[in-house]
Amino acid sequence: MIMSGELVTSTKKTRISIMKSKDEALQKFLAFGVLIMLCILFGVLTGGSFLKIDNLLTIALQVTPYAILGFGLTFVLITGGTDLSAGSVIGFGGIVCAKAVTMGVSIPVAIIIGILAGIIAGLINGLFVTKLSVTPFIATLGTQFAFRGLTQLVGQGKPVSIQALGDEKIISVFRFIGGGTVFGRVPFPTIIMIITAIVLGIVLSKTGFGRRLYAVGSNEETARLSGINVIKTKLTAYIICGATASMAGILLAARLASAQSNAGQGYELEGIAAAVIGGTSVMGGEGGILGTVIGAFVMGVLRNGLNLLKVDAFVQMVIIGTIIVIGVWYDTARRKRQSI
Amino acid sequence: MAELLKMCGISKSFPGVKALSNVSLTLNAGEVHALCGENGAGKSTLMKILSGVYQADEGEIFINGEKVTIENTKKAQQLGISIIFQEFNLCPHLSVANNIWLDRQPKKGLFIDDKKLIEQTLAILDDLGLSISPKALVRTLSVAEQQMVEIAKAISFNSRILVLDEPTAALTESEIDRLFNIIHKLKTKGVGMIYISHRLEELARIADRVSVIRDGQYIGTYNYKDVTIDKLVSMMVGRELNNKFPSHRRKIGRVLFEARNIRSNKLNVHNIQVRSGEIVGIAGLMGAGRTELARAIFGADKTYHKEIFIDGKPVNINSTTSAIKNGIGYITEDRKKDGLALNMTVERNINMAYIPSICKKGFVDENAAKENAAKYINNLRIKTPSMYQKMQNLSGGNQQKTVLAKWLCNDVKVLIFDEPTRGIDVGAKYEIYELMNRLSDNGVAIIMISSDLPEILGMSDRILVMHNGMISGELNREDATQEKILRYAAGLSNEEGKGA
Repeated sequence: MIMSGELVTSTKKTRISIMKSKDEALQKFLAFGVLIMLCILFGVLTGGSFLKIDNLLTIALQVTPYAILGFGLTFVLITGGTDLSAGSVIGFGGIVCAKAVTMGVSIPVAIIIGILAGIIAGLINGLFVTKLSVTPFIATLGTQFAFRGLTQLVGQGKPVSIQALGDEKIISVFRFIGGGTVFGRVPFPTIIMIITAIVLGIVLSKTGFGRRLYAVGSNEETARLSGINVIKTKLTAYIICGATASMAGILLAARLASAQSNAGQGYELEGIAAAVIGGTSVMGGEGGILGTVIGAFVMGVLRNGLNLLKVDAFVQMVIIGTIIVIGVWYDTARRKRQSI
Repeated sequence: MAELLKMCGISKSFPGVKALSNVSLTLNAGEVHALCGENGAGKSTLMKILSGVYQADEGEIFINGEKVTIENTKKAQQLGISIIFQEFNLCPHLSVANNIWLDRQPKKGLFIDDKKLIEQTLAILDDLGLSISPKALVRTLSVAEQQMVEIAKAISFNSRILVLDEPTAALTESEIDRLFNIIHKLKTKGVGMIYISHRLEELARIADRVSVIRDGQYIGTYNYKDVTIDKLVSMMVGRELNNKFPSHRRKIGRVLFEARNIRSNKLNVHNIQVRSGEIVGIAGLMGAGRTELARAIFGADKTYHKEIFIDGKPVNINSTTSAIKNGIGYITEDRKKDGLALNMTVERNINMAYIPSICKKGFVDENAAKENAAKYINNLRIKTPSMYQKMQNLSGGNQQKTVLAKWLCNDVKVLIFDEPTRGIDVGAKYEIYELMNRLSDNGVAIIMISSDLPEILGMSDRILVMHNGMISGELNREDATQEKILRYAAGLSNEEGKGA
């Protein structure tokens, strides 16, 4: 065989420095620094009550659905896309799971059906974006309505209550999934969130799929001409996003032992905000799971701290919105500096 | 001739680098002054100082004998300095007229006076002898026409000093002729032009004087008729380069690649054969279908019909993935657009087409990835501080070598080069040619698309010329001349051109 590889001689002499990009580390460090500073600030302002373990665990529980959704959105954002339907998929996954339980399906199977519903929703989004080349913003804006409509249809406009089944055993299992504690006081959903973060973090940083995903997001045509199956890669990203959304939906429904048909409304924007604060670029090609965890906690800590300080809810919205814009502005400015 | 511009003793440092050191340049009215130097020599920095983007650390600038300070681009414009960059600064969705008079449109009350706007625009276009409609949207124009609009815009500012940065890089031969006509017109009007180009051959047609800078140092200024291209090149690279193309003794083997009956809405190609170790050049005008042919072979674009044979065996190439599996590689025309991911690291770019080979059960073996990247950085002498450097921080030549590395690690048997040396400097060009020869020594079949005729003539064993989606002529290395190629490229037969 012809070997162009013969061009290459010994590699032992190579002395290429393997310094990882300092800038990337700085970005993570900065978001983390902001999180720590917020915690200290609120700790001082609330006279220490913010820093009580119980309060911190409450924050962890509150942050969980946003963070899990944010992980899936991180994948989609890295491809340079977006998923505005993710909030609707939360409602859809939750209500499908609850409906299955009320129809007598066993709990593990019902959960799998719920997640499958999210996967199918993600697949539909992905097909619109890849095969039909609809702009992600428009495609998922449309499916946002469609999936919310389907959610309402499944529940016939009403919540699907597991509680109404009257089966104490099933109710207590769901209550545990949605808000139970393990190792003393750690919320079970938070454990799920941490496991999901680890699994998806590994997928993103250690697998061939992860590499392809970044390549597609950085320059789609280059990726395609390098033999990367762009359609498959993007489809997978949307499917992962659908799956995480339905997971978040099942956790929300489980906490109340009832699936609300309007559950998850507006969550997609919270998820995107978490990812972006954590350094994921809406232009694609950059981002990571750890950043999204930090971003979700920045949002959660702000909300909780401002609540403890009895800041008016409307003022809170103004503050959080401002922080998102400042975060993105800083990130854009950093990128600009870099490209000079 | 009156001296329009004088830059004296200009120095400029950036953190860690001295970009310019004591560089001087003068420009007379009605003169074309070529500025030569390798990539990174400091040409762009000097021009950015002239246009007010950067401030010089030392040195003085005189315009019409008066000392000036150019603190920003607006000031440069007021002083009559215009720069036409390689990437145009036009609004694609606005008309030609609105682009030329952007933000300066004549007003009637609150509204734009369209009639006057069109009149003003026509006056300028006519003056330059351009037949572009003032109402045409810029995005509908060809690259050459857009460039003319840029020049018209500069004229509308009454610019006396015009800087043209690689103006011919994306133009065809006939478009270059038109551009040069306009340059001659501007000369007679007394406009002074600083002309930057890597295509030294074309300077003979327009340049009056030439200045060379190397590594930020001023080397000298000469009357163009007193220097030869070889002399220029040796001043630019600081050593004698006797040959622009490395010599080669090819071992041409069996037919390794064959394509038959490639048909798409732009192509109708009957047969192409490339032997192992052979370099087949594909010449032709822009739009003749050369890039389309490469993309069809590589499975990047759909075709109605095609038959590809590797080593005599028919293979089915319906995607880029299957092309790579069958040992075909494609180095694209525009590395920034579709050859590299600029915001990713060198390592990730080298390994981009190699992911299946560095994966074990779906997981990337980081050590294998690192080793592979290091191997090619070393072997192709890619200059980068680290393999984790972002691609965008590398020079053009090193970027091109990275693209090459991407294909070499896949053990390609057939490699398609599309404009392999566009926008890279003389020294790096030579290195790319050497690499092509090394590949051919190793038995790789090479298809080289190029608009650079000396390159086609200097590197190819055989030359195919394309016209209108078809192969219009085939020439052996020995019989090929620029004239014959151009005749085929224009769709003419070479019968009457015989003996020329």
